[in-house]
Amino acid sequence: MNFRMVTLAGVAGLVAMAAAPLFAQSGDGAKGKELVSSTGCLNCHRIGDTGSRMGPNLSDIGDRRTPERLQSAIVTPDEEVLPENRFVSVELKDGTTVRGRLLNHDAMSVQLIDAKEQLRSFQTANIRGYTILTKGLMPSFQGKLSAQQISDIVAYLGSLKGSQ
Amino acid sequence: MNVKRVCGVCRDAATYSFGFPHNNQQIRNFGMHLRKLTARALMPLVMAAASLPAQVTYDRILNASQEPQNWLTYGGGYSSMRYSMLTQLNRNNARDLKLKWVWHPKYLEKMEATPIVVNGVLYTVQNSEAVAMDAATGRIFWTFRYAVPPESNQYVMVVKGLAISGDSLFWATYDGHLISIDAKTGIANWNKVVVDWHKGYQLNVAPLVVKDKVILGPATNEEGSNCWVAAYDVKTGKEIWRFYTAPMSADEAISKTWAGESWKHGGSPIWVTGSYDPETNTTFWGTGNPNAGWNGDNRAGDNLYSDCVVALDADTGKLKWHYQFTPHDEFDWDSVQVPVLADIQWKGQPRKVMLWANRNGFFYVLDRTTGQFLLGKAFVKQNWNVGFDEAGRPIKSPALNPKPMGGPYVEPGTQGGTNWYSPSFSPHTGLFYVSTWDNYGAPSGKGDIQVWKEGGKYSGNAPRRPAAAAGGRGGRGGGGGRGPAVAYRTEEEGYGAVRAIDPQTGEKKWDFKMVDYTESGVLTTASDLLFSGGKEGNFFALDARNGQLLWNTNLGGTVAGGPITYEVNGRQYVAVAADSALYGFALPD
Repeated sequence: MNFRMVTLAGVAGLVAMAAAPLFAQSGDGAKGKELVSSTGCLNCHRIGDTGSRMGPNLSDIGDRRTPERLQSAIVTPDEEVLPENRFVSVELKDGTTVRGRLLNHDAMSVQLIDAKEQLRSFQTANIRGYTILTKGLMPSFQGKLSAQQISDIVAYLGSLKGSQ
Repeated sequence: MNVKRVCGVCRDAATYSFGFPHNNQQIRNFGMHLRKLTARALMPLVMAAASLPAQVTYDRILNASQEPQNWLTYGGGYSSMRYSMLTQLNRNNARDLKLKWVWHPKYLEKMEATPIVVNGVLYTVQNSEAVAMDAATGRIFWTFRYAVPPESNQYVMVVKGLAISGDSLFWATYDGHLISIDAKTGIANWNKVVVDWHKGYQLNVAPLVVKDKVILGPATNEEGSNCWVAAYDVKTGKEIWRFYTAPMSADEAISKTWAGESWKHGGSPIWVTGSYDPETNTTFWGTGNPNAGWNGDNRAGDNLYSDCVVALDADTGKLKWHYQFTPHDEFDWDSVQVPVLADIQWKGQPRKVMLWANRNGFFYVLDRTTGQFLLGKAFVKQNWNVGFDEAGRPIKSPALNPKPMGGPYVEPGTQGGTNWYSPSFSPHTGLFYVSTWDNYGAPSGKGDIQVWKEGGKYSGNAPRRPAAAAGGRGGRGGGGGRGPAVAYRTEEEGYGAVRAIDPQTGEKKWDFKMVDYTESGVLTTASDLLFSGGKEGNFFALDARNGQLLWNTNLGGTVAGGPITYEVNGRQYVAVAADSALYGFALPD
């Protein structure tokens, strides 16, 4: 899993809370949409029919997050990573590793979706082990994007209401 | 059929652990005899079973270990060790186990019943029907239906199992009936109301038959109805004795352990089967939490006999001794675990003990003849107890005593370090095995105490918060429930395990870890196999010596009952419930 692919995992790592319909007043949603495309967010996330299924789907994120929490997720993403958005690193017996979003695990096996959007299942008897990653899935964009750019992205994400 | 010769092996070892062979040579001898027994005699025995004048006498239950082809009580015998002498299945061939049959009742509740098996016939119960089936094929001989009114169900319509005496089965129904059923025909002998569910009672315990009495008690699901253990005549259902587990009058000495008149609604339910020691004619029962369960502000004192083990004379119900695991409980730590009776070496001397892994997170060893506290040691992460005094009374952490309002974080959480799940003790390994929840803590709600109303909740718990306010998960008080969904949980956030404990020290010997918690009972055998399962749906066989996984199958639903083993026509079976179905396994033909 390369760095960019987990870029926005933390955004969807926000808790599924009923959000008040308040959006960043100063953000430009159209510019935010362009930024989401140009900064590689969709290498991990999916919005509508576009983007990766590896990370959390953002198609209705505007219904589930306040602008404040969207902004917090971009600036300090490790503050809130939902358990269902955790990643897992599986160490195979040949020494290689497979990373992906954790889908399930039990005493005998672990399931994930990998960077190629493949649903994969490993028997614990056939691997060296696995590690669940609870932090560090998304870098902070503080200092990498301007305050205005972040507001633009927040405005765009806040406008995403799903397909209703 | 040379039953005496076979049984003689056990009788030679009768001074140790209820007559189980305890060395390898005795076990090998026993296995050889058993194979002869099964080859020559079991088939005609099964065929002749219908003509036996009395299927299961007191003497047979007393010597249950000598007929390991059967499973005669909830705990596999009066000692409740859930330890079988059968050895056809062993560490080398367990990997070859195959599914032989499945039985689906018409009800979808999680099946918690432990079946009993007598001469090739398996009896079990679920919701509103009890059945007799061919233990080798799962084919039904008869079904007895008793429609339990759904409105009597305050929680989950679970039944822990049946008991048998003579030719009669006993079913304690959720709505308070005790029913005697003819084991050959499935027709009721009698049907007595022993508690009124409208008054906040339920029956879900598997009864225990001792001599001519069937012993059980009611539960109250946080409704403040004072409970008891009672014995009923196996022939008529007439009540013979009753021992109240909470006071019934202010004149009783134990009412002084409840402030004011709080004793009137003290609860202290019975919902898991007890054990019996024939040498002292004592029956042992664990009792549940006091009411209101999460707020003890109005019931200052120890609140006897909540969260205790009570040792009762089996003929009279008179109390011999008690030990209270959690005085003045405010965390819902029912002590309704199964008392496991073992004869072990203790500090170099033989001692008759009781082994008990409690919901409060501590493993106890008690002298079962006196109730003397011998050992108390945490077997999971805990934060409520800072030690014991010389008498074995727990010293509570001042951070949690008195319990603050709201939702203080407590370890273990409400479901406990273990719960009602039957443990096992193997005299061969000398280890105690228990289904465990570790690294498990949660906010323990504490809210206002409701005004008691007959048949209503009386819990003192904090209101359940909506999912959104609890951070996406429903929860009480401070929120949180049982942590992240199991699919994403880390070991630090809690896990289930089958844990082997050395009774001599209380120390863990090994773990078989699961991701999810487990509600499964544990079964061990003389060939050092251990069977158990969990909420993940796995049912597995382990090496009882070290916890190594030998075999596993995914049954697709919670394994919550206690696995059993038995033998029919020379073939050893293992039966286990998962979700609402019962499965039978054996080696291939």
